[in-house]
Amino acid sequence: MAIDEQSTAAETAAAVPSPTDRFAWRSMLRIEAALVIAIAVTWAAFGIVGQGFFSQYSIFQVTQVIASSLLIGFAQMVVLVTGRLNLAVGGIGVVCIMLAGSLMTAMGLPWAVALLVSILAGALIGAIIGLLEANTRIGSFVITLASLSILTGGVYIVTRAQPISLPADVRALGAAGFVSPSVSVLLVPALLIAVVLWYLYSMTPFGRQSKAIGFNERASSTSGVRVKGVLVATFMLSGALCAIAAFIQSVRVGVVLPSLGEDWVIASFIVPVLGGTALSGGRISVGGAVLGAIFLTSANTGLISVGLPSTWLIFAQGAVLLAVILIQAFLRKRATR
Amino acid sequence: MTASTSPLLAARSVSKSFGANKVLSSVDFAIAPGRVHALVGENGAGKSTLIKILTGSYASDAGTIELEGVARRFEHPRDALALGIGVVPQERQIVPELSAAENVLLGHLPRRGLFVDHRRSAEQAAAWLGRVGLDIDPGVKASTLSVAEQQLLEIARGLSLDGRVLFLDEPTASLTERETGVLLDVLRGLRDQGVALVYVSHKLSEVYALADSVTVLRDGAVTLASDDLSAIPRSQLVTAMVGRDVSGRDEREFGPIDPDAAVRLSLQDVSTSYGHSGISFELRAGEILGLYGIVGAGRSELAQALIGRARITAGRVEVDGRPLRARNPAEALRRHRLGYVSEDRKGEGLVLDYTVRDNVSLSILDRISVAGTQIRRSAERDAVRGAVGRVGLDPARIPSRAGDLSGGNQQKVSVAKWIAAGAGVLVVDEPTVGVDVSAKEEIYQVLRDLAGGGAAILLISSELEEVVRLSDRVGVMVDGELRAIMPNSRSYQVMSGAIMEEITRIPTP
Amino acid sequence: MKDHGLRRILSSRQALYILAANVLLAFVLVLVTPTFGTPYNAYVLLKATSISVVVGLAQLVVLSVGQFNLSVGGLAGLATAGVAVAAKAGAPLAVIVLVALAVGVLGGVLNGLLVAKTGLSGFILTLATGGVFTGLNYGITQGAPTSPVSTALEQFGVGQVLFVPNLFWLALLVAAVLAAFYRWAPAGRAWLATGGNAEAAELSGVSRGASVVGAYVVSGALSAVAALMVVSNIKSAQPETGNTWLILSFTVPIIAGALLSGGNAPVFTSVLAALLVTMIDNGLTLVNVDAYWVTLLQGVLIFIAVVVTRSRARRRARWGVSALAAPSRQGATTGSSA
Repeated sequence: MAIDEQSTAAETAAAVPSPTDRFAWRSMLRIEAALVIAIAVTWAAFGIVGQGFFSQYSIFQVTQVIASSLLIGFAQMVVLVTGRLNLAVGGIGVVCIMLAGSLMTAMGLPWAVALLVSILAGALIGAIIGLLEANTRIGSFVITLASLSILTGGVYIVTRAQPISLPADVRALGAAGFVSPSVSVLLVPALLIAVVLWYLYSMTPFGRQSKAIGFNERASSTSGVRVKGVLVATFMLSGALCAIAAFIQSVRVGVVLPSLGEDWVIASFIVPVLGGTALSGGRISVGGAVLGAIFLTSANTGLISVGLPSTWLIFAQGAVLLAVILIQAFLRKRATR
Repeated sequence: MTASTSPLLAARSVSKSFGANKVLSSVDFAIAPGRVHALVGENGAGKSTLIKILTGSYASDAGTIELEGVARRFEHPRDALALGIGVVPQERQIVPELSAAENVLLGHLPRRGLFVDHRRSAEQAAAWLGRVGLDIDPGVKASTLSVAEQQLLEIARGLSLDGRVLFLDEPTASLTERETGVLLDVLRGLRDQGVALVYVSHKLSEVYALADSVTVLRDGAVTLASDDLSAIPRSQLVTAMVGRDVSGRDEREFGPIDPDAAVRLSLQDVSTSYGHSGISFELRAGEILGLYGIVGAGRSELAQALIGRARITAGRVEVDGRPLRARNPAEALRRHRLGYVSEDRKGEGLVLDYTVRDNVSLSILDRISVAGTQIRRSAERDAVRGAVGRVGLDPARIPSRAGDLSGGNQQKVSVAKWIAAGAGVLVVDEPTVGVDVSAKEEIYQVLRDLAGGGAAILLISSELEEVVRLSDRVGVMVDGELRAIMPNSRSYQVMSGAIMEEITRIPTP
Repeated sequence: MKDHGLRRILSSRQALYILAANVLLAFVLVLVTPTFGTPYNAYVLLKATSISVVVGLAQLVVLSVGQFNLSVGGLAGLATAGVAVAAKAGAPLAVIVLVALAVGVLGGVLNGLLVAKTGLSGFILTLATGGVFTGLNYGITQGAPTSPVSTALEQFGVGQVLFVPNLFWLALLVAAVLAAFYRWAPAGRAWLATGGNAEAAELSGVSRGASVVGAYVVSGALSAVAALMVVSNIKSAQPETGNTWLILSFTVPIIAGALLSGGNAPVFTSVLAALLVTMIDNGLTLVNVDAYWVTLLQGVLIFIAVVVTRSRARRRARWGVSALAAPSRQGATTGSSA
């Protein structure tokens, strides 16, 4: 098989221009359609087979988990668009929530204020990482890997690995819901943020520039895009999203655990990747991420409802991610034929 | 083909397409042992593709490859290597962390039993390195060598294959005159030993000095093939490459430059961190200054320095009367309306995965959005349509993905972007590489119109004819210095002579 | 040629820096805490170092071909699960070792084939396979440790020769074999070529696929070896084995000067780097500092090491793109354009 052939084929222009259809649109819709079908199948299957899959309690749980996994996925998604990655999502999350938790308990601040402060902290940490990424050639892999280490270690040192119990009014948020109560209130901010992100990446210059950088950074730079600025802003956004994700996850549990974030890495990739956000950058699908989060959470919950021990859930997650990556790569290869 | 030199390796009616782009059309190409065969053509003519097919990197869509008359299929470069067919490609193929010796002998390091014999590697490599005139310690890490040394290293690697056929693609791109001379001697020696050599180069003087036979490719087809290069005058060769009768052409399509027009770009004694020194020139509104030079002269690097990717280490640069302050292309555009149409259209000029619309509007997003938040679609549409119209691109192409367009259309998009951005000073780097003839003419017209509208254009080109056709004045760059600027008499004969003289003149120190 | 064995290591600046750091640190620790200099502590230190060495080398071999392996820890955990299963079945030491190695090799084959055949980057593929391995591990063991495993293994873990623990000799042996491989085996030079410039290597007949698969297989085997070392050290097969190895597996080679874009394999320097990292851990524990300081310091060390290595090697590596999707785009140093 000719080695360079495929790459040159993709690069070399066709003498005949393509029809009005945009390649990206078609494959996006295909992925989202596939996800909708997958969700329907999952709900149907587990609804029939599982114990109490559709019970009020179960749905309530599901909406809560969707909320947090969606935000964790968003934190990675915004970075992926620019062709970078953020391995430190868990570390940023735990630092921010520990900060918020301490503010609430030790200083008695209302949760809204503590949340705001923690979001700012997340943005600040993101800014530092972003500056490093924009101004050095170290690479986001090493930068965020090292940052993860520093943040996680730092948090444990400072907090002495003590969990922080959240005040009652915050815990109440975790129990509150509507549609009597089947849908957790926590889903609301998650979906709102989804809408904001969708708007940001499809309607604003920032979104266009981020995607351009992900597709071709050099061309973007030559075209006058302020690459460094966009990168810093992206990591700040990611950091802020980590803070919110950590808050939601902790509210669910009612306590701030220093181990928060340890399992975020894989989760942060699965949601956007499943939804069609490209790992190489440029392509983003907020809707796909939402659908992906719904599917994954439904599948997870469903598997538990049929009695799968939690120890096998990790395997399931890894296997799903692997399968998704392979299928997407295969589909992409066929599409560029 | 004379009977005594029957072909060793031949391509028969070879065609190759990438998608809908036909890169080679029914090409016949035959190489005989003991001869140097030149393969010439402009950029995008299909030379590299033909070589890749003959050396096993690509498979042809139609036609056959014959080795000693027997049809062959190469699945992988390894197959070709095993049959004694080697290539020194145009792209750098150095493994930086390995030693020079290992780079030379890559893939066939001498062994002692199961193990690599480093001592013999060093000895063998030293022999090959010596033959190309490279006097270095074979154990030294390849990344520490200069670009010229690395090129010689790769040539040594090609020689070490000791094959029957050797392709060399622009082997002297980074070499000095002296090094080139040594190389040509080595190649002559190889030829005399019976090796079949294929020599690809833009430098026609080298081609005439070395080659016995020639094949000219233009737009994927053979336009001239001869066993006796010495019988072919240069103008005939160039005509075959370019497709027009270029002998004694005289164009007067422009008016004279208004001497009172504002100076839009001025460089005084400029040096850059790339290594330029003493560059001085002025560019007025409405003027096209053509910068000619051979590969390695530093013209693109100068452009990169102007848009802020490298430091101006000495001298003054002024744009529209104000000193140039640009730490990156974004600042160059915003502060000075200085733009750069890259020679690397696919890698730097365009975002291939973006539509035409998104590419054109990329530079003006701030301007067409409401306080940086929402992009005003109507404003975008108008700006894009306007720019696309001015480059003569069919508006129906606007929603198309840039990567799917032809080379000519891609180039138009690349230029349209800067028109939309309102660039007043535009550096255009190799605008018609890989662009077919009719699109070339359209792009020339676009550039002329731009200049006519008051822009100042710095045209970087390696095509002599293009420089002569477009420029009001011509500058000649060699090795990071601007050797001369001359007014354009529009006569190809005269100008090419004068330019070549500047290029080959050795400056008195 | 002037680069042979010992002289080559010592002529490497990075190795000298690390050696100096080691000496300095040891000096400081001896002063600060009397326990550090005791023979028992040296014994503990060397045993811990030996594991860090093998973990670091497991990553190093994959880095050398220009890829990443995020499943080092996961595969080690799975190998430990294999050990647990074999131990529960009453298997002798030889079988236990074979089971572990088989798991490691098979996992490596999976990783290697995926990377080689799909053309996707090892980063995301091994992120996923790592999850699969971890999942299998926990599924099989249900999160419960198994002990005892094998008295012979335990005795090996405890024993020493010439005042140096067996485990450390083993680590040194592994390092020596790898170093020899990279120096004298044609495959070793081929791997470095693939990592340094995959296209050049391919054009010259080196098979990128073979190099990649080979590297992942060796990496998997090394993960298994590290797992066995842990088992022999703590005398039980714990499912958490490898949990914290992701960062460690990168810290060691990065400090040792391995290029993230591939193409080099500083094996003995990695040994020195592993010693440094472990000594920090050991020292901090002795001074009663929170163990989490180690995690934090590893992050800092990575930063310092990368900056130092980068300022010496002029390599381009944009980890956004090449880490995630494209096959490792090795920086072919291009000449200046027109």
